Amino acid sequence: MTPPELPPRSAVPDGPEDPFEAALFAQELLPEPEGLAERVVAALPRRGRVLSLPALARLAAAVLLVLGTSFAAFGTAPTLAQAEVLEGARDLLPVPAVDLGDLGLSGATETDDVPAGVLGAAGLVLLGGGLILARRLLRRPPSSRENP
Amino acid sequence: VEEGLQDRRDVLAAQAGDRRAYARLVGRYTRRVHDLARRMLRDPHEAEDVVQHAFLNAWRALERFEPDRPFRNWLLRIASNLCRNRLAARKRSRELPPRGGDDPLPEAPAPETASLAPALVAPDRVRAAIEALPERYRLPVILHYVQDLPLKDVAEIVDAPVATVKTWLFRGRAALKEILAAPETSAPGPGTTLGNAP
Repeated sequence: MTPPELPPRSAVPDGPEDPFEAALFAQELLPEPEGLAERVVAALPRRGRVLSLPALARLAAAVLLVLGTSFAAFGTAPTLAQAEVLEGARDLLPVPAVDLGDLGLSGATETDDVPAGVLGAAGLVLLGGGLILARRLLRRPPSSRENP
Repeated sequence: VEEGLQDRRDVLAAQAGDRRAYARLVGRYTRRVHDLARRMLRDPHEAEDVVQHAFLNAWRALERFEPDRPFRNWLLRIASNLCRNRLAARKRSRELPPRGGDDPLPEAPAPETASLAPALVAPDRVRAAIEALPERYRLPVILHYVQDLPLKDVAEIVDAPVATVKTWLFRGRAALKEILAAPETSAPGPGTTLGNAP
């Protein structure tokens, strides 16, 4: 069915000049279900001084990337000069000292008490996790018309 | 004006984390949002759902909201977009639009003449006719006539120029007259009388 023919825009009234509009303006707001406002407020997520979930995720990604890069860099190409740094880094990661020969990491240039290969492998895992998390965070969310 | 000032105060407080201020905004606008959703969706349960989501989305996006803008328009825009999304989802899934749910529309006798003098049109018939309008006309008609918002605010909520809103209102009124003049005792589903809006 074709829509009714339009009058010139200047002829369209703004107010209730048409008596039919009076019947429309007489409509009242429907009553809302009892307790709806209270239920809405109760369902709101907490928001305060603690970090929000997205902020927490960003922080986690940054930590993973920094730790992962450091561990991977030190772990995959350690030198004796880095042994002290590795000692400190190892304290951050609760990895027990492992005989690298048992792990098949005999190529790693570990010192006596620094499991450099394990540290490097853990670093790569952390780096990978950080990259995945960062990629997810940087990806734009699907367009949502709800939040103009 | 007073409401706008109260809104601004409460928005600023809510942005600082004051839940009680946001609860005041919820209390002030729950009925309006529910009315919009109820008339747009014609389903009380979905309408309640939209109210919850509208306030939740507004709460989440509140930090990005500019307090000098009218909160009411922003909230109603969120709610109307939620309603549009649900109507589009219904259309996609080819579901039949539910009628009234547990709050069925009352049946009223059709007018004997097509003159439609306001006194002769029962409010319930007008309500049913509004809910039977095609979606594009229904939203501005509800906002302007039922919720009594000025054209400027309606235009902001539906994201269209004021002249376009006037056109939709004119077409909506014409469609309403046609629906109310029809001999059926109950209004047809949305869009079924006049087809989809162009």
